[in-house]
Amino acid sequence: MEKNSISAIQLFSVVVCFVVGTTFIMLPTATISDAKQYGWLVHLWGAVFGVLLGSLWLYLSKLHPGLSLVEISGKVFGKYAGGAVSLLYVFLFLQIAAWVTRNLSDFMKVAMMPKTPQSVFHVMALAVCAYAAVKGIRAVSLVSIFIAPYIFIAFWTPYTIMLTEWEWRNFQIPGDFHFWPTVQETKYALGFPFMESVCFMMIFPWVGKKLKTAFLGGTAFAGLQIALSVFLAIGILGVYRSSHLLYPEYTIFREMKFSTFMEHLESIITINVLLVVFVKLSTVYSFAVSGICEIFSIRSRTAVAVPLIWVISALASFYANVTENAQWMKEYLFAYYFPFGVGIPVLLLAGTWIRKRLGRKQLKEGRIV
Amino acid sequence: MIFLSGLFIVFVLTGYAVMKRKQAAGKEKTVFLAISVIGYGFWVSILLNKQVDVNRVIGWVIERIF
Repeated sequence: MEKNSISAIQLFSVVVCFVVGTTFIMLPTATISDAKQYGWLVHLWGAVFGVLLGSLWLYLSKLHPGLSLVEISGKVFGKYAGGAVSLLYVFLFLQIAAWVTRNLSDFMKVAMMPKTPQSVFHVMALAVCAYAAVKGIRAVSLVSIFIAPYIFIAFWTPYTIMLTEWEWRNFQIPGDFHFWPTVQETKYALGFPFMESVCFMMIFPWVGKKLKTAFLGGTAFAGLQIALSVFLAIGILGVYRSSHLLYPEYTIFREMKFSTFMEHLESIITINVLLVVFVKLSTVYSFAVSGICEIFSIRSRTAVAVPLIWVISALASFYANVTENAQWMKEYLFAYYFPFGVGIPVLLLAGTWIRKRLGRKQLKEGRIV
Repeated sequence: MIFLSGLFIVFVLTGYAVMKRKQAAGKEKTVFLAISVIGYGFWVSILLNKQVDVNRVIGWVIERIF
């Protein structure tokens, strides 16, 4: 890909779709269950955390102009250690793709087609996304320019109409708010989706002007949308119902009824979920393909993308059920994402500084000699 | 199992035929085959009910470290 091949608006749209992605179907129940009426605040500080972390990645990328995450690893850690780190990132991308695929099939099975085997959803979704991955992130980001405004309007218009059901007493549940214990209990909301965005380091070199504004703005905008949707879910459904439903926002849409001829508005949110999840899946799939192509110096993306359908569809089928998946997310997700989102980038930064210092020292000694 | 194996063979042969036509490099053919075999292995483990739950493995590793 060439420099400037992705515009700021393309990056902004794809980041918004990526961050919103599976978050708004997976997280609200968990955060409302853990933080009760303050669940929406969790997403707000999550967005702040995402912006701070994004600044770190952007700074690292600025120190290595024109290089993707895989290339930076190779440059700083050397061929073999860098290759190993890059493979770890590729595995992370594949696993995120598998989780997203599984979240999609869980949603489809629970909400729409309970009798269809989940592997059918896996293979069908991945076949489409493999094509997008072959075409590359530029094609995905171009599609996201159309999808991001649509999902914004199609989600918020009916959702805000449901404010007629709003009850302020839903926020008056007895109990004190303790900041640090709540952060500790809901730390998974920092990892998912904000640490996942580290994969965008694969395309930072290809973005033209306003890279920082597009990436950080997209993260903040998506984080605010998630926080606001959780705030409204609490106000409309209440803490008890929201924390006991699998998909509270889907339920809000299902219970909407404007008149006798406008019913089953849940189909709107289902289309939204499909669109936004497909963008997220295509994005992370594309990054996994790019990573493998860069590590093994392969030119044909098709030779990598197509067989990955076998791998990702199988990985998505490995997990037992949606409840176990949610429990795992609560317990281990932050610890699992931390090395990828913070640990390795900080090591890369330290490695870059050390190499620069050594380089300067050698230059000075060379001049003296 | 027979269906899966048949599908895998058809997939690999078709892939090779397409790559041969496009005069793909040897490295590309190797990566194509390697990824396909890994995926096929995963699917066989699912059909034999011997799949490794990656989430559980990661959870186990994290518990050992922390």
